[in-house]
Parts: sequence; structure tokens; C-alpha cells
Amino acid sequence: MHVIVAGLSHKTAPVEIREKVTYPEQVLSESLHALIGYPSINEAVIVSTCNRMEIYVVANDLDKGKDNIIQFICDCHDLKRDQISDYLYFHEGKRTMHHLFRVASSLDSMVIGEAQILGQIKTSYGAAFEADATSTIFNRLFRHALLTGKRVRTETEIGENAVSISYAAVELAKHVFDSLAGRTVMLIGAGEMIELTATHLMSNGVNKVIVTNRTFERAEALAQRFNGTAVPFDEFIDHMAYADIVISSTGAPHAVVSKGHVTQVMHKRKNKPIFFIDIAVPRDIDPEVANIYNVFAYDIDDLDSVVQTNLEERKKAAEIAEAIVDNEVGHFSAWLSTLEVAPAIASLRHHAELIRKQELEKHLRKLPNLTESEINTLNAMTCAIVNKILHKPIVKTKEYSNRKDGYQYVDSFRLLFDLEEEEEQDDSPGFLAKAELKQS
Amino acid sequence: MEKLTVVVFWLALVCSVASSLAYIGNFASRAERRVHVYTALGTALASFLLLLAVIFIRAGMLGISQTAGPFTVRVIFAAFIIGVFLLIETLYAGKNPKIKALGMFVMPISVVLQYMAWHSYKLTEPLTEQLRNYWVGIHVTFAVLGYSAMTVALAMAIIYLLQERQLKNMRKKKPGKIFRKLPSLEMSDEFCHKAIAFSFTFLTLVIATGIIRAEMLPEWSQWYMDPKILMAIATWVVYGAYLFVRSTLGWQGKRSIMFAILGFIVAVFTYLIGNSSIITEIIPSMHRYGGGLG
Repeated sequence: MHVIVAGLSHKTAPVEIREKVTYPEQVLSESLHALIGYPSINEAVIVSTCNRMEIYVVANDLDKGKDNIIQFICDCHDLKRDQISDYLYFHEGKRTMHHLFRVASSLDSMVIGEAQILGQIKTSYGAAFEADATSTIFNRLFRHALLTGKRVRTETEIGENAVSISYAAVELAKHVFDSLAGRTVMLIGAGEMIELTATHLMSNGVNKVIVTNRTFERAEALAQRFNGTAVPFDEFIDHMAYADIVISSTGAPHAVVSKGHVTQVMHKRKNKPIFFIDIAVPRDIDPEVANIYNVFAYDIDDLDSVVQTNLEERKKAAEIAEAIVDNEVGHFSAWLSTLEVAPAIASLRHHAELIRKQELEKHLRKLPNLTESEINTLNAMTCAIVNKILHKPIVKTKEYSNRKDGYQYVDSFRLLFDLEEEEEQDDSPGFLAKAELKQS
Repeated sequence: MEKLTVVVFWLALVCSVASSLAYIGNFASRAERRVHVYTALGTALASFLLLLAVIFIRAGMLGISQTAGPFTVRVIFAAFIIGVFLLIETLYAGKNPKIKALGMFVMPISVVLQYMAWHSYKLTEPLTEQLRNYWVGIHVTFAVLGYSAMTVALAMAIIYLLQERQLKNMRKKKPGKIFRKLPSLEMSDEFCHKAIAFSFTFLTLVIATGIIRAEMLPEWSQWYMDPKILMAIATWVVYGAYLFVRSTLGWQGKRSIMFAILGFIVAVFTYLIGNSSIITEIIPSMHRYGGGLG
């Protein structure tokens, strides 16, 4: 039994290849069925996102498994082997788990710490589960991967801080206001950057938008998009008192919001806190404004410094995340090794030998008059009995374990003889994840 | 019983120290292990319960009328501070995990109070006839509740000032770890407000019960000119003014926060009159119980 992953990602393949080799949702179920149709492949999950395509399989033969995957990709997309073989990467065994856990933790993403990948893996696994393409190993592996991803997100700050200018604006606003729900934002200017920042603010709960622009029509157009109101450019200061957040990005050569304006606004607002973001160069908002009581004003350089610090923080968080991934891989491979046949048999032999020795000692104490040779005979006899009884089950298990679903026999073998796992490990992640998957 | 009190008290102190360290550690560390979060909360809860146990054991041992001594009062104070904090944490930490930063301030304060309590453990001056009255019991309990909430308000005010400095000086100084971990300005302002509103209610009751008790005494008229009582009223006025300007003039933010800090300073001074021997020598007060440490 081998766990293999084959894939191509933004790190190995150009977009020309990535856009060809995809498995959209509609064909996913069908493709999974085709994949497990191959004789060497027992379980399969296909992860297909815009930056990566990865096929995870459990195969009973390493080389055949890899070969089947390449064949499968070529068949699906009408490609020749040499067209894609250069771009594909393969991992097997422990490195597959390591890779999957890293992907789920968003450590392998283009933007480290991005939040989507965990959901995408969940969907991919869900599809494979629905299509009956997963079984004991992948059910456990993927649930463990989701759990690892979640653990990384809660225990590190990997995804917490903004790494783009427009998100940094939202993040800063959230340091002043506890929640942006129900807040009003004023947009001065109607450019692309303004629109992007406003979109982020809206998705964080801001529900009222006031737009102003030198060309009133553009203000109206933007206001309509956000379901807001447009106000003429020469009277926007009068409306500023209603806004909690002001974003400015005009092409004006000098400041359009002066200190005097804001003092007037703050008087009208009864000093309620107000938050300014100036993304224009040259600046639209007089920097002096920041000195007014309860006014928090930032320009593009401030946002950039926030982004730079956050990027450094993410790198540091990623180091901690790698340690978490290593730890979880350790847990998982400990469980996986219990599915190997050799240790199970060794464990049974050890167990039987222990019983034999104990019983022999117990009974020899009752027979103190035995000679050396008689003891040897008894010893040999008990050994023979144990070995003969164990012979059939061991041979059969070895034989069955080579079948397609072999590890299930190993599993039953352990269960029937009540063989304890070599290493203590907690079962909880699997169960937790199972419960969670049912909920969602 | 004596031994039991001491053992339980020390266990509580150990838990408080552990909790303080855990809260500070969680705040400072990059990775937030769930184990560490639960350790911080668990030890805080354990310490709270153990301190309550100390109070009950002592009440059982000495009789309820004898419990108003300096040791017990400080233990109650230490317990209530943790209690107020735990209340905030259970109510709000689910929605706003950053509120946990409060633990970093509150738990060490509780440790200091427990240490002070330990220092006054040996002072077992029998309570005077004046104190053996249930009005006094209510009066003291309300006072301790009021002071606990005040301390939490102060912690929130400090958190606000730290965060505001980060936000206002971003140009000069890159935002540090504090910036990412501390709650938003609005939240610390709001919690400071809540804590003061809570504290003000009890402060009012403290003064009211104090008056009721003083009226029962033969020398009642002298009580109204006592410096401690006057300072208590000054504290009440400052906090009242805070609530007033906040609600009517809309003084949010730093100005009202400074008011909260002023209120706390006045309150500490009020506490020290009659309780600190140095100050009592300069300003004599009739409100002087439990060996000058009540």
C-alpha cells in the first residue's frame, strides 16, 4: 500500500499547462470513478484549483500507481506523456502526507496564509467521499489534513494580518472601530483603488456609502453600484460628519481636505472617532489632520508599512506552522504504520511468545522434579503448538494483505487478536473531523 | 482549620501567578496553543474558586461577624477582581478574543492583593463593637465590588492608551506586537465605560450604606467631616462626571479615558486614608479599622 501524490502547481507549471489540466466540479465524480477503475489504485482524491491540480491516490504498487496517474491525466485531457511529465511532481509515503498537510495549511500557496485552500480541499475530499473513491486511509488522511489546516490557522497568525493595501485599510479601521457593521463610509474620488477598498469594507459590514467626485456622473455610477448616495464635490464636507470612515483618492494636485474642514466636521460629530485613509499621491488629506482629537488619518506609506510588517509576521508564523505540520505528520504516520502487515505479525508473535513463557514458568514451578532434558522437551512442545496455531492466520494475512483492500485485513487481524498499537496515539482528530464533516 | 486556610490560600496564590504568567505568555507569543489558552483561563478560575473557599473557611472558623478583618477583605478584593474579569471573558471572549489582553493586567493585580493579604494575615485584632453590624458587612462587600470594577476600568484605560499611541504614532514608529494583539479602541473605551458604570452603582451604595451605619452611631455628626468620607464623595463625583460627559457631551476616547484614570487615582487615595499608616498620620480619619489595614 502506497500513498502517492502527483500534481502540478504555480511553482512547477506555467499557466498554459495549468489551465489545460483541470477537473471542474461537473466532471469530478466521473473522473474519480475512472481513476479508481485502474487496477492498482484503491483510493483517490482530486484537488483542482486555479493554482494547482493534484491527484492523491492509495496504490498497491508504487510504479504502476504513478504510471496509472500519468495515463489518467493524459487520457482525460488528450495530452501526450512527454507534454506534461516535465511539469508533474510526485511524492510518496510520508512526503505525501507532509505535502498535503502543508497545502491544507496554506504553506504551499502563492500567497502564504491565504484562506481559500482549506475550503477547496474540503470540497475536493467531499466530492471524492460522495463518489465512493475514498476509504479507510484517505478518510482519515484528509480529515487529519483539514484538522491540521485549522490548527495552523487558530494557533498561528498566518492568515490574520492583511498583506494588500486595500485589506490593510480595513485592518487599520478595525483597530479603531470594533466592528465595521452599520458604519458609514465616504468615498472621495471614484477610481479603481477606491472601489476595491470600498468592496472590502462592504464585505466587512459597512452598509452606507456616500460618494463624491469632481465629475458627478461618475460618483453617481459608483454610488449606484454600492447602493449608496452621491453628493456634489463642492459640498462633500457638509456630509462628512455622517461618515465614520473616509477614503480619498483624487487626482487633485493639493489637499482637498484641510485641517479646518476636519475640525468643523469633528465639532458636528461631537468628537466621535473618525478614520481617514488617503491613498492618493499627491496626498488629498492634510497630514496635520492626524493631530486632531479622535481623528485617525493614514496615507499610502502607512498602509505600505503595515503590509510590510505583516508579510514579515507571516513568514515567522509559517515557521511555527511547519512545526505543527511535522507534528501532525508524525501522528498520522504512526497510525498508518499500524496498517502495515509486518509489524502486526511481529506484534502477534511477540504476544504469543509472552503468553507461552508465562504459562510455562507457572507450570514448571508446580513440577520441581523435572530434569533438564524434560524441561527442554516441554519448551520445544509449547513452541511447536504456538507456531502451528499461528501459522495459518499469519500466512493468510500475508496473502490477503497484498490484495487491493489488503489493509482492511490487517486492520481486522489486529482487531481480532487484540493487538495494541506500538505507539500510543490519540484517536481524537479523526473522530472530531468526522463529526465536523457531518455538520457541514 | 487554620492550616487548611493557609494551604488553600497558597494554592490560590500559585494559581494566580501561573495564570498571570500564562496570560502574559499568550500575549507575547506568536503561536496561540489552545492548551495555553485553557491553562490561563483554568488557573484563573481555580484561583477564584480557591479564594472563595478561603473566605468561606474563615467565615466558618471565626464566625461571619469576625470576617471583616484586613486579611479577608483583601482576599475578597483579590477574588472579586478575578471574578469581574472572568465574567467579561466568558461573556465576550468568544466574539472578541482580544479582550483576553485584560488578563495580563488583572491577574498580576490580584497577585499583588493576595500578597498584601498575606502580609496582614497575622493582624488578628479583634473587631470592635462598631464593626459587628450587618450594615458594615454590606458596606464592605459593595466597596470591594466597586473597587474591583474600578481596577478593571483602569486596566481597560491603560489598554486604550497603549493602543491609541500605536495608532497615532504609526508614522514615527512601526506598529509592534502590541498593536496586533490589543483590542480596538472602541472596545476598550466601551468596556472601560461599562466597568465604571458598574463601579459607580456600587460606589453610590457604599456611600448610602455608610451613611445609614453612621447615623446609628452616637458621634454621627463627626462622620460627615471625616477626610475619608469626603474623598469617597470626591471619587463618586469624578466617576459621575465621567458618566455625565460621556453621555451628554459625547466625550469618547482619550478625554474620557483620562477622566477614568483620574477617578482611579482619587479612589486609591481614598483607600489609603485610614488604611495606610503614613497617610493616616498626616490626615487622621475615624474610618480606621483592623489595625489600620482594613
